[in-house]
Amino acid sequence: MLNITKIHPDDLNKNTTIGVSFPLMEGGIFRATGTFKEQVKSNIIHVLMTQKGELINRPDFGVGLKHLIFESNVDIEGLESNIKNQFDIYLPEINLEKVTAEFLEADHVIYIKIAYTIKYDQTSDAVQVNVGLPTWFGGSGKNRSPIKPKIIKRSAIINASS
Amino acid sequence: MYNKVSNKTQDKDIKYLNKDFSGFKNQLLDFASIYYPETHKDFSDGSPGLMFLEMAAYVGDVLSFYTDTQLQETFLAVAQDRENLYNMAYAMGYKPKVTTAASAMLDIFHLIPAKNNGGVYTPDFTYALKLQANSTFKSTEGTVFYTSDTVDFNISSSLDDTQVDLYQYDSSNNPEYYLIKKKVKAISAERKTQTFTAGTAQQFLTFTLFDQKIINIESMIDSEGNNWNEVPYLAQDTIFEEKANNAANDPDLFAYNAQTPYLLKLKKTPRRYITRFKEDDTLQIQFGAGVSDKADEEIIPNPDNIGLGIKEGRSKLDVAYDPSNFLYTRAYGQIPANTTLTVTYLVGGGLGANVSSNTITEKGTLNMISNPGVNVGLSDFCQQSLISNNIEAAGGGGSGETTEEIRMNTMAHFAAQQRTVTKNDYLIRTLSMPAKLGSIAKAYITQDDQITPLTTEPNRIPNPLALNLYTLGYDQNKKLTNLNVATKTNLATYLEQYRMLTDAINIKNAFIINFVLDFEITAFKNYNNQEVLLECISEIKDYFAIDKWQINQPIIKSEVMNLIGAVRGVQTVESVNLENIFGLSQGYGQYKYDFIQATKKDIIYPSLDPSIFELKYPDKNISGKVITY
Repeated sequence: MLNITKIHPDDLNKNTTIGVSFPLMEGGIFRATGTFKEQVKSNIIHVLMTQKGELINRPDFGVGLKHLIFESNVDIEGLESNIKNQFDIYLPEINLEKVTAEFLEADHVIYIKIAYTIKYDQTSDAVQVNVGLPTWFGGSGKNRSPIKPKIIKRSAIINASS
Repeated sequence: MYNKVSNKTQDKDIKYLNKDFSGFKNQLLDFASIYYPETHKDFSDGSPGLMFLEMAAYVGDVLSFYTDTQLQETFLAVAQDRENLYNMAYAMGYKPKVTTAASAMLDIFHLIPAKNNGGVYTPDFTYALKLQANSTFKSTEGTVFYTSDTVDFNISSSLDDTQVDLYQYDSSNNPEYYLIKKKVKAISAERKTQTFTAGTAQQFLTFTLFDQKIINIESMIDSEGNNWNEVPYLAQDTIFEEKANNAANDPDLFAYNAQTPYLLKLKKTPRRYITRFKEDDTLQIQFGAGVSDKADEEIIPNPDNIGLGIKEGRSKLDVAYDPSNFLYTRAYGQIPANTTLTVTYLVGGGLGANVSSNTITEKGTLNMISNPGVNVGLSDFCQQSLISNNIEAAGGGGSGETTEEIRMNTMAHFAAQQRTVTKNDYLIRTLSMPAKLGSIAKAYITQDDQITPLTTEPNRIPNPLALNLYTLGYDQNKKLTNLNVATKTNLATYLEQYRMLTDAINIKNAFIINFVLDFEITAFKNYNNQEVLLECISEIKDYFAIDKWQINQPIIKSEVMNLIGAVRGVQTVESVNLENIFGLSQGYGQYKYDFIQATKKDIIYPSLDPSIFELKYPDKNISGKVITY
């Protein structure tokens, strides 16, 4: 049996870029995404990190993780449900497989772990976003920057939560 | 498209029709898809790239909003911002109102003693008072009212009559006091004063009256006692001044001072200012830029003083002269310097000032003048007896003009241009002359014409260079009479400011045609004939009341017949006849008029020369008869 790999049309020409990479200005410059998969990952982080009302004329867009770190009692189930709803609306190109949220109130850190499949080619991937206090606000240091989500492998997320 | 000039291979297609956020966003999406297909492909809702595109659309939306708004605010018809509307109104010569004072007609009463002339008792008018304008009365509801005109109980005319009633008998049953009554208009206002200190001369100096509901500035006087006058615009250096018609001011026209108590004069005033309301309804006062200290003077235009201020080397040949400002003092009036200005102004109005009837009964500040040489004690008693009342509720008070009202009034004012152009302009301007300058009851304007010198041509030929303004006034019994010379002089001065340069106005007397009316009716049997007849006469009197008639208005006999026929009890109108009556000795006009010749199809037309029909003595000139068969 032949092992057929589907390639997204945007990925056919290696000399073109797809869109803007998120977080913006990482490394001091705007970066472009080279593949569709990379762009999907940027879009996921964009939806997670954008505050509701932040985008013009789209008041419902965004999960708004940054505000949650100042809450004393975060509704984890509500947060996971919110993420699912946002992804259904704004990221129709993926199937969400698993969302795990964890809130360390003492450290003011939220860990979001997301496993998903890209609908076009059924490839799986995962993202983990850790959001904490910025260092100038007494955060835990350079390794836990709130505006610089950490991206880890899908297998690590699936294994850790199962 | 290849552009030879710029040597570019492609001009990007930019659409200029988008004005709102979604329009810009969609157009930018199309633009990026067409011209940057290899740089950016993902414009899904979750994409960060879309965020940048939307921000650009946002900026576009804001900019088009301001472009639209700024354009809108430059047009009087659609501007919304109040300060813009104010500025446009002032540019077009209109001064908006921020408050409207309530007005009330006050009845002013006071007692005067009777005098005995050989057994005949009459009111002694030497004790009649003169209540100066700006006297105040207070409503029991708290609002202060100012009288706008002087109430002179010594003078009685058809437009301002003094009503006399016997008030009290003495112990011998002879008249002791009479009650005299006059009416005067009063407005709701409170007088306030504010002072400003002007230091060294400063061009176009401004002060602001920080008060609300300002009606107008009454006076501005500097420390040296000089009066400063408000003008519509600073380039105008002449104002109207009303001077008492006395022998000192004009020995010739003084003879007419009973009918024309004031004379209108034109006065040059270097001490002048303009006012304009700001957005917060405060009033800004602005002065000119000159340091001239020439005294005020009455002016007669002559070649030496016209265009006095034009010194920029231009030929005078092509300068447009404004008759109200022919001096063109380039300094726009004098600057107040090293002095203190005392501004007296009126504030008030509003809906709360519409007080109920019979409430303006409290005396405020009364400025009364008694005639000289009278008994002081009796005169004091007369002054103490003065009372006031308003039979009707005060009305007209409001909260100033709304945005729409400012817009409409400005347009109307601009169209009028303070110029008399049409026939109606002349009529309205003539009839609007203040009554104290002489009352004009009727006016009619028509083009001047002349009898043609060609005997073969019977018609008249029009004179395009002149207009004939036919006027009439009332005498003290409210009968039509010719205007006196003083009133005509005032009218000429008044119209001069608004007259078109090429219009020559001949102020003439209209012709008065007096007549008598006979009618015959039959009445229903169950009605009292006398009552029906009196009712018919009353209807006719009302129909021919002189207030309702205008120069050159024909009498339509069928209207009179319908009027009589509509009276309850009238069965048929048998006849209505009108006949001319004349003769100065009998108290009628001097002109004979042939009613038979002037009647066509039961319509009695006035003469070719403008004339007016007057039923001069209704009690005597109407006769009716009930016929029984």
